[in-house]
Amino acid sequence: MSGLMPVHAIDKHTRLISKKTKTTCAYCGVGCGFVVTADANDGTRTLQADQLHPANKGRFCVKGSSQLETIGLDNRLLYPHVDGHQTSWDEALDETARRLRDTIKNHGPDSVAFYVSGQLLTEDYYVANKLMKGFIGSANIDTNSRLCMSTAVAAHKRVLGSDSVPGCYEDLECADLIVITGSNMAWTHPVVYQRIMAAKTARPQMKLVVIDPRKTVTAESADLHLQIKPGTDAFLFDGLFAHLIRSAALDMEFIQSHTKGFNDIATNSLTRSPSNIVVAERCGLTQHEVNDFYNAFAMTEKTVTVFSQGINQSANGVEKASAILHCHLATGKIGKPGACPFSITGQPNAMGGREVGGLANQLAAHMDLDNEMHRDIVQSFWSSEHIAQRAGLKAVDLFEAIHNGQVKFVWIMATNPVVSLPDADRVRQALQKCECVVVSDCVADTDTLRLAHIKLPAAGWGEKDGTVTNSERCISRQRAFLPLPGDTKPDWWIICKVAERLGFNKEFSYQKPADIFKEHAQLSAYKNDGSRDFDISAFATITHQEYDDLAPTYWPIKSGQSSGAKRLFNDGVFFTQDGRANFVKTGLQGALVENTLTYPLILNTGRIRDQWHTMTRTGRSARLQQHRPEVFAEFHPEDLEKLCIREHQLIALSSPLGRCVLRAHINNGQSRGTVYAPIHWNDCFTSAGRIDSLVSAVCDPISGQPAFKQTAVKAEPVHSDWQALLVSRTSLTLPANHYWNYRLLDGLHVYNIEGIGQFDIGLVKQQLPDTHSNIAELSDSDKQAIRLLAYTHSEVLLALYVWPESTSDMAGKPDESWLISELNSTAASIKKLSMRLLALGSAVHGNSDGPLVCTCHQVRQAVIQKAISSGCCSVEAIGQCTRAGTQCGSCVPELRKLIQNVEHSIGQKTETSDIHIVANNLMQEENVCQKPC
Amino acid sequence: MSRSRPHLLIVGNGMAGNRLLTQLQSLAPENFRITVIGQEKAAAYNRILLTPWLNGEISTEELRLQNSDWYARQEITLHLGDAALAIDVAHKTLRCESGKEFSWDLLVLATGSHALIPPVPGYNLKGVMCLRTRDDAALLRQRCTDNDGASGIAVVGGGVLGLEAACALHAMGLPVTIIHRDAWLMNRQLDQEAGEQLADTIRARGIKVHTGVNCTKFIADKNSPGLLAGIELVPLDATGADVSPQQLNCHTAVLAIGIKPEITLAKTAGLNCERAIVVDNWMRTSVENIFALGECCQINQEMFGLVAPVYQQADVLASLLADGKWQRAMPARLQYQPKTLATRLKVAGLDVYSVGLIPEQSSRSLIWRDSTQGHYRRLWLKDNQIAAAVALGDIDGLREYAGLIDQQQPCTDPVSLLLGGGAAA
Repeated sequence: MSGLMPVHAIDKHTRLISKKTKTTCAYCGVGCGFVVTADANDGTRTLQADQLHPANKGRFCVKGSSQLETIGLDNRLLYPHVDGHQTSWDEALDETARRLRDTIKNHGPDSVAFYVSGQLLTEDYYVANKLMKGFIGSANIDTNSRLCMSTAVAAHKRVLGSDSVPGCYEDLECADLIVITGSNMAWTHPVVYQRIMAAKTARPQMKLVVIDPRKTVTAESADLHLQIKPGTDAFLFDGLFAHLIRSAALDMEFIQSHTKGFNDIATNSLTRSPSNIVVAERCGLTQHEVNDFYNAFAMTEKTVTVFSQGINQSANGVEKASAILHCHLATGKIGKPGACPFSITGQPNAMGGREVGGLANQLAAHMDLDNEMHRDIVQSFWSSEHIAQRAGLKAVDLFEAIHNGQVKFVWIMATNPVVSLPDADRVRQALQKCECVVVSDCVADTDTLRLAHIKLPAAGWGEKDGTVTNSERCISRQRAFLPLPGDTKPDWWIICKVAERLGFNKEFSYQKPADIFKEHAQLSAYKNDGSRDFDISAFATITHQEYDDLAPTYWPIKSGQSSGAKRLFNDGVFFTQDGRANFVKTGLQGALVENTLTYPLILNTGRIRDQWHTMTRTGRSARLQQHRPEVFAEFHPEDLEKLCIREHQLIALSSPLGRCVLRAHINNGQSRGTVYAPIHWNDCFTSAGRIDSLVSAVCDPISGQPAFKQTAVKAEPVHSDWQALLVSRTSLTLPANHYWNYRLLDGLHVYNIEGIGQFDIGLVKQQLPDTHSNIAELSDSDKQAIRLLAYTHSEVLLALYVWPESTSDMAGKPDESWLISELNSTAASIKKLSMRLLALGSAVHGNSDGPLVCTCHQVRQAVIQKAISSGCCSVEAIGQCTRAGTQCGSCVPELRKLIQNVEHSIGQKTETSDIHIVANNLMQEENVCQKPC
Repeated sequence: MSRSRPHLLIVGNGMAGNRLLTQLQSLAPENFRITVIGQEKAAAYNRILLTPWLNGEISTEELRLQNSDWYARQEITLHLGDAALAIDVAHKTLRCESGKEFSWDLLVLATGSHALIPPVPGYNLKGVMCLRTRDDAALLRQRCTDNDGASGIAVVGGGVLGLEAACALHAMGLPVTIIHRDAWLMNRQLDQEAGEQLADTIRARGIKVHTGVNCTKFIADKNSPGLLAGIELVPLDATGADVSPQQLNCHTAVLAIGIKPEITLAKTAGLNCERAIVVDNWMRTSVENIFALGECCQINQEMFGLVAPVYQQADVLASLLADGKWQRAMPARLQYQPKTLATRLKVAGLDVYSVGLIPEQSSRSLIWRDSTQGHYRRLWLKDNQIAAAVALGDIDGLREYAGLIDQQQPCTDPVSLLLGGGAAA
């Protein structure tokens, strides 16, 4: 194994030692490798993409590269809190264990639950799962991976026999056809997208087909964009399957040797999808488009189909994903370089979570709860007394069980379900009703933390150690390069300490994450003998040192192997009883969400390029706020026109479940009748932007994954009397009845506000810090405009701008980036800042020409000097050229002196700065201009 | 020099007369034989710079509008230190106080104005004076030197001229008190808040300011009855209450309560006069071949105290005379066009700006206050057009206001206009 890390590199020039740490990105499932370098001189850190990491090979995306901007300690949860009071760890752990134990004692093990996250490291995940399933004896542990990956898991398992991603990223580079469906990869998995684009540039014959109801950035770079009707992907892939049969594009040899059930589904499919015309009609495509796609798929051996949330997050997601897998099996496009179906995951460690069994219907190490033999294996390995006997509650059902009182204790780790689950307002109600809500998080404020009885401060990225697995089954280390701030602790430590208090000292007595990883590896090997895909027995004896030095490694990697398998199923043997993959019957029913008269639009939700999940981290980087600074919804221009909504106007988007207020944007790539809105915004960032409060909790019946992509909604304009921009050094509480959108930009709290009636300036003034702040203020007798600046001798504390909503164009609207750079400019001492110009809100040109010399005609020194330099050597000449001195004549003496000075400087080669000094002295005598004569 | 050239006689060698001369000499140096009569002994100087000259900020040389040999080089006859006494319209002559008589083909009256004297007892005491001329300024300087260490100086009138004078005297190290009849300083240019802030600034510099008081009497020195010893002051608007007069001791009272056009000569000659000499938009009086301009004239009831319109009048008249078309129908492009003008000055280190006519209470107005910095700025709108503005402390970027008032365009962004000036709007 290579890459001994951390390394100490000696800089040739300074001879100082800088420390480098290799780690893995905290964001998407691509799982890029980073190198963090801490400067030995000043401790400043820089982040580089790891040239050697197989996932990114030196590539970066904007979210990943800005990660160091998000590790500041503001808004960090640093100390444990119980019932609103800061406590010691002992007290918080005792109390957590006590409430957990009491609940189990009184109501049984199924009255408690853990809701965890793909943000957890594999080691954290492993102990959480072990505690719940092996020792509490319930399977009520589910994870936010339920929201993104469970459909792919279910499809993999029923078709391939195991939750195995067959291919790797290199397959995308060597494919001749890439089909991307349900993924705006250019934004959500930018580095994989970069790799595809680079390969496509190198081999222009490589074709890219993108299937998406929106013309996304990814779709724009496609050779063929199939802008299907929302939710019709199942028809499209079923039609493809039928087409492959009709056009004799099948790999009969593969079907016969390595699969079963083909004939059962073939007839069905041919009946359902009798022709490409029918499919085209169903999907809202032209026959030509459908033919092009189908022929390309049929004729291209090296084809990879990448699928993600667009497939997974639907009411029949498992059927859709299965249909994709079927097409690949039927053509033998699996397990070969450049040919595979490829589920690409959302989170940095969704895969790791699947491996440890973090979903409520899994057990551990890719073993199943409903398999008695598996239960016995795990129980004996863990030496547990009560192992869970049946599947636990999946995410949506879990929160419903909290709502109806069946579950009375929930421990939420590293996730924000009040924002991210469907019917999110009901989720909030559920937590409000819950007897005990424990939340482990690294940030101090989230919509979920606001409902916690016990808050446990967890270590964040850069502080914690462990492993993650990315979308291509590559295990890599996240390494700490920062000390643990405050009282924060790694999640595995917190879980183990609670387990100890429940009496499971021996079983949770790990010293380091390496100990947990070793046990995880041992379990993967335990009674496996090739029966299970997940096998990392190569690490069953891993030492602490080897763990610390662990280089990125693909699984499976068996004992004695030096490298893992990049591709699975190249032998055509699957992890089913008989080794054959299954063609599984699909129904294709009840998939489409229909719009109604009341709710005429179909809402699609998704991610944006520069934000991650609920913005707890990306919301702290100024750079990442620039791309989409405000919560929004995108419409087709004709839909907006029909609704009488102006672009950039606020709109209310509502479903029977909830209401959000968002900014209307036009996107010509949006299909008519559809709206797109991002999932990121929440109560910490805007007044009403939790889009999942609109989405009903309809789930795929097999995977339990919610259908986030299609919700019938309506949009109405929201009228405002005024708009405001408020920039403050401290965070503020805003009136509940207004729309607001919050950003943290370079240490400044920035609020965009809109409302009706009068802006309550008193509410802002009340919140000024208790210092002797000076106030500069604009008041308007018509109460249309407000400007307020509060400042001390050293800095501006707060700047407020209110202008009427009806204001045309840019009139009255401050230039936010200018303002922030002014407030934060180190050169701008408070003495140099003009509060008036700040209140103006944008740069004024023409004041940089030095002091005013001729007041009558407002001619400045630099203009006059320029005139003199260009040959005006008399007062009269200057007057003709610049009008200076032609009215009252008060400045004529100064003009004469300026002429003398310039002549002098030309003769003596005097520095021009001397002229300024003389001229400035002159200006102090500046005198009356317009006055009676 | 040709005898056949018409003789242009200009009465007055102030800023208006001088501007006419220089413009005429550049437009048509050969057209006229020119004679200038000046009451003051000094040739044309910049009256605006009189206060800086008074306290020694600028030299006599810098005060001059022309070099001493300029008139000779231009072949202009300069007759100074003699007042014009009477015009004979019929014979086209003019007689001076000295008895000297001039004939003229064309006559220009640029007689300017004199300071208003309040009709109260004691106005003729020695020590009660104006500050209009170089001689006044020299005399004032002399009095201040003579009375060094004695009681202070009162400046009567808290308008632009009074504040200028008070500050100049204060800068000379003299104890100064401003007496102002209205409720706040510069009440013709400023609103109450600005006027009061201005007074506070001036007071902070060490100048005493009394507003809302009437000067009822100049009090003579008991020992030297011809000399001023103080002023009797009565607060105004003290309705109902017995108000006892107060006395302010001073050795000099500088009167700056206003100006009055100097029209005696014109009136005596039978020219149409109202408050000033009535002229049309081409500066022509009621009598053929006689013109008037500057502070002594009025056009459509408007009178003039600022330099800009006076210079424009001089330019109009010069063009007219240069063209030789003064008797025929006048081209409109040549006529005097009234423009809104801003007042700007620096008082006690504080920049003061005012433009337009402040409208009645109900108009929309926007105020910017940065009290810590002493900045105040206010804009009034009338029918959604900019009507007036005042500014204190920070007067940058206000150049466009006057033009905007004249343009009468709807104001789309009053906030930017107020905060950034016309350039930003």
